[in-house]
Amino acid sequence: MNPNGVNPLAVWWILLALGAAWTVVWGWVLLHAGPGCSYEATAPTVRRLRRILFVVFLVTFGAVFAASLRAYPYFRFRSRSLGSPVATVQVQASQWSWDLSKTAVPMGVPVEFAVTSQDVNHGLAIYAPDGRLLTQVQAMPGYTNRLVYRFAAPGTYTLRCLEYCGVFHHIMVATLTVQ
Amino acid sequence: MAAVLLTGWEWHPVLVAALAVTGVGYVAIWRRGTAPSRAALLAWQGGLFAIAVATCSGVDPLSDARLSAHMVQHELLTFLAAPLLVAGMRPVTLALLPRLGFPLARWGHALTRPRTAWMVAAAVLWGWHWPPAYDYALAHPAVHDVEHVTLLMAYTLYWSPFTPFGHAVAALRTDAARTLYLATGGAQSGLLGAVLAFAGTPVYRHYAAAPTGGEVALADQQLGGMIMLLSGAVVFALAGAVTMRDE
Amino acid sequence: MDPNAPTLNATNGPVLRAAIVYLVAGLGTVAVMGLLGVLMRLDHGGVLMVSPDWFYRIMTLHGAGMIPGLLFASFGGLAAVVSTEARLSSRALWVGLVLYLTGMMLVVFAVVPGRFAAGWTVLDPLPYEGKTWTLSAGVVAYAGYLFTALAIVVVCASLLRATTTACGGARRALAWDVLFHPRRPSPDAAHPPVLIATVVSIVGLLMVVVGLAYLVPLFLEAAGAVRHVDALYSKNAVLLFGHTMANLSVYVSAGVVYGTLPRYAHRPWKTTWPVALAWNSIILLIFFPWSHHLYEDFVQPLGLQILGNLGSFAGGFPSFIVTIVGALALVYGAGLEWSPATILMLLGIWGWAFGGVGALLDAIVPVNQVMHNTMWVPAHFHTYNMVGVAAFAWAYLYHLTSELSGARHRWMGRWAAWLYGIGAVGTVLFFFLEGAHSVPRRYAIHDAAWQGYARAAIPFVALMVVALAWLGGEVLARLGRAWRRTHVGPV
Repeated sequence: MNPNGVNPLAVWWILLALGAAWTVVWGWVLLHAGPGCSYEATAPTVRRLRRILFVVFLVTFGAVFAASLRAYPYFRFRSRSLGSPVATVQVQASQWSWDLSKTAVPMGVPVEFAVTSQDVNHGLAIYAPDGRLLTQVQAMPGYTNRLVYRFAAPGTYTLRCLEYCGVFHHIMVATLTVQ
Repeated sequence: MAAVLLTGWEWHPVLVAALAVTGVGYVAIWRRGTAPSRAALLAWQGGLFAIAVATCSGVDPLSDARLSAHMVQHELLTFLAAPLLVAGMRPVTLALLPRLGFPLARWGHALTRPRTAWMVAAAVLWGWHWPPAYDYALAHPAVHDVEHVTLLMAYTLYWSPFTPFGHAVAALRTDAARTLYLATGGAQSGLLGAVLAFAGTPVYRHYAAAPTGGEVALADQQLGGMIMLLSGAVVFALAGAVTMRDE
Repeated sequence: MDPNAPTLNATNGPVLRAAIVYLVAGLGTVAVMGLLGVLMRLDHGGVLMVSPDWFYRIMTLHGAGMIPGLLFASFGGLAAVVSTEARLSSRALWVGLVLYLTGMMLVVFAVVPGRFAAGWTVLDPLPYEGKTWTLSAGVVAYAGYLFTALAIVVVCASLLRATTTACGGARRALAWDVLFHPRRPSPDAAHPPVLIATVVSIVGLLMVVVGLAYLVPLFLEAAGAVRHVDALYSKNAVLLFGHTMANLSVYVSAGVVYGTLPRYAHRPWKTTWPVALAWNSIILLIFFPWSHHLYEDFVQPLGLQILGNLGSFAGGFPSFIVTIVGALALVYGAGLEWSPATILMLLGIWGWAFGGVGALLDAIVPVNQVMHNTMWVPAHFHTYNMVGVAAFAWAYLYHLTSELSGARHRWMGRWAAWLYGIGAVGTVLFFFLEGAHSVPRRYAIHDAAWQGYARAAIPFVALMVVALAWLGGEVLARLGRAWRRTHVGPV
């Protein structure tokens, strides 16, 4: 997993692949739902299957969890993998606008966003120029969340609110220039 | 509000006399009945006391100035006095009905059929809260008294199908029927409360025209609506909790 | 549990009547809220725009109606299933219903005249700081939630009492005789639906305690007794309550499947050691995943974030390895009787697993970073709900009304069930696709670039509506006779 961001479309393809495999298994069982064998005869196979699945799940989930740790988005993880932030943007969210201390940040270096809210919960989401969500963090009243990110390419990035905050939630947008 | 209910009592002679006569008369009938229930006695007298609090305590004069106080007054009649009277009514109906004769009993049965009782209560509720009617009652004390009496009677009727009094009073026989009756009945007062709680302008001219002005009237109206909505929710849910039976 | 024994016996007629009303009221609410959902999809597709104010109110009502509606419909089904073996109090079920209806009415009043639109998640401080609604509307909505929570208490307490009495104690009701003595034969171990009813009742009661821990400080804040409630505390509390409630409905409806699928497979679903272990572990495991909703609240303690991740993964063990595999094993080679009920139950089994994959992917923290609060989130829970809980609940309502009325299903019912599945799968696939393209959730207006997905989903949504209309019509046609049958008793 890329510490700077997972590709959502990759996740979609994984879902489809696993979903297709599951559908095949499920469909196969349904096709064999006619009278065929006794319940007792299947019991040993089911027991063995469950034991196998248990081990497979344990190993898979364990491996996925271990691999994911590298790419945790929290401050101590990203500042370790990307480096200490070189620039800081103070972000204050309120109904329904973003107040940014800077609207331009350098590319290729770790940048910190110190995010808080003046009123209700908001969500700072940074979208690439091509419309892909790159990173996000919640804006909470009474707390400052520190998000570190390294922009790989220059351009105009869009900041959207991603935590429902009232009637103008969907137009709570700002832009950020990366240069 | 508690202070208002406990102080500033003014004893209206006619009303107090009527309550006293009713209270004493009830005890006389109750004593002579078969298997008198202490709970019924307490319920009936409690109902009379609730009427007294609604009409004689400090809430009465305050209801002229504030919708929220007026709401509390009405609730005392419809959500406290009326169900208590119904809960205590059994000894009276059992004693009096055989003497009153068949035609009256048949009328009683027709009137207390759940559908009829529901419609009467809803009609009286919405009728009196229609702004021209409400303002008129506030401006004319005699009409205001009629408003209170009819509200009390209408809601006594509404609550009566919960307790069967023999063939003279129709009853809700199944839990399904009780649930439907409560849900639809509660929805009436709930909707009215919600309308008042969330209206953007004062609904009743009497309060809007008060010397303290429209803003205070609006805030007080919202409070009154909230009182009606939330206390109604509690009362109807409680009624459900105590009246359901294992079939 | 004898898979051939009829549902109606000499004593459970009143309980079945209450159960039918739970199912009809719950699924009726689901149907109405579903139409609101159709409206939202049309708005997202740019086909039929509503004002943002109305969109968010509809969105709030949709969620606030769906989750309790599905939960209570499932409780009704489970009560009916369990009533064949345990003495349930119909009175308690009716009291619960009154409380639920009161709660729902308060929420409707908050949203429609009150303009409340904080979303069904009612995340503090938004319900009190909405700007387009008053503080009072927030209080009324919270009051509605309080009454719903009380309804859950009544239903769960009643179920728990019934199962523990029927089994002669909590230990037997939790199948501890099987759990701790796997090698000793237990011929009278609690049957799975009874075990599950015990488990979900315990969870429900604990869950309400959490709900009160959320609501009480907020009522005090509205009354002015408390100045401010900490945002991190309230987020944790409401998400622990809300996640558990939604998750619970999956387990309650699964209990209904344990009691119903055997009838069509003509095989008993026994309380084996895996079943006993899985369902007992759920009492704990259901309370672990909630922090996966707080991954993007960076101030949340890291330990809780990890618990959220591992807890989410852990939930897959009992669900997939025991229940889903168990269901498939039950029907394999069984000579399964195909009916709309069977089809819906098997669709639900499919959807539970597919939704689970989507959920577990999103439960990986770095994945959540780019998926949280995109349409991926509604995608996975709509899968769980539409092709999971709702499918199970509809299956049972169909089954119960058919059995009681003596009606035979025709081929059109089976087609309708399959079409429902196709419609639902298409709908959620487009949700997932939107999420993969970073389309945000809870937006009243979608950018032109995003609208294509919702538009493409509309035929599938329409398919679901048509299929459900047909199945609902069949249910309604049988309802009168089924109801009257409960008064007559077994013949």
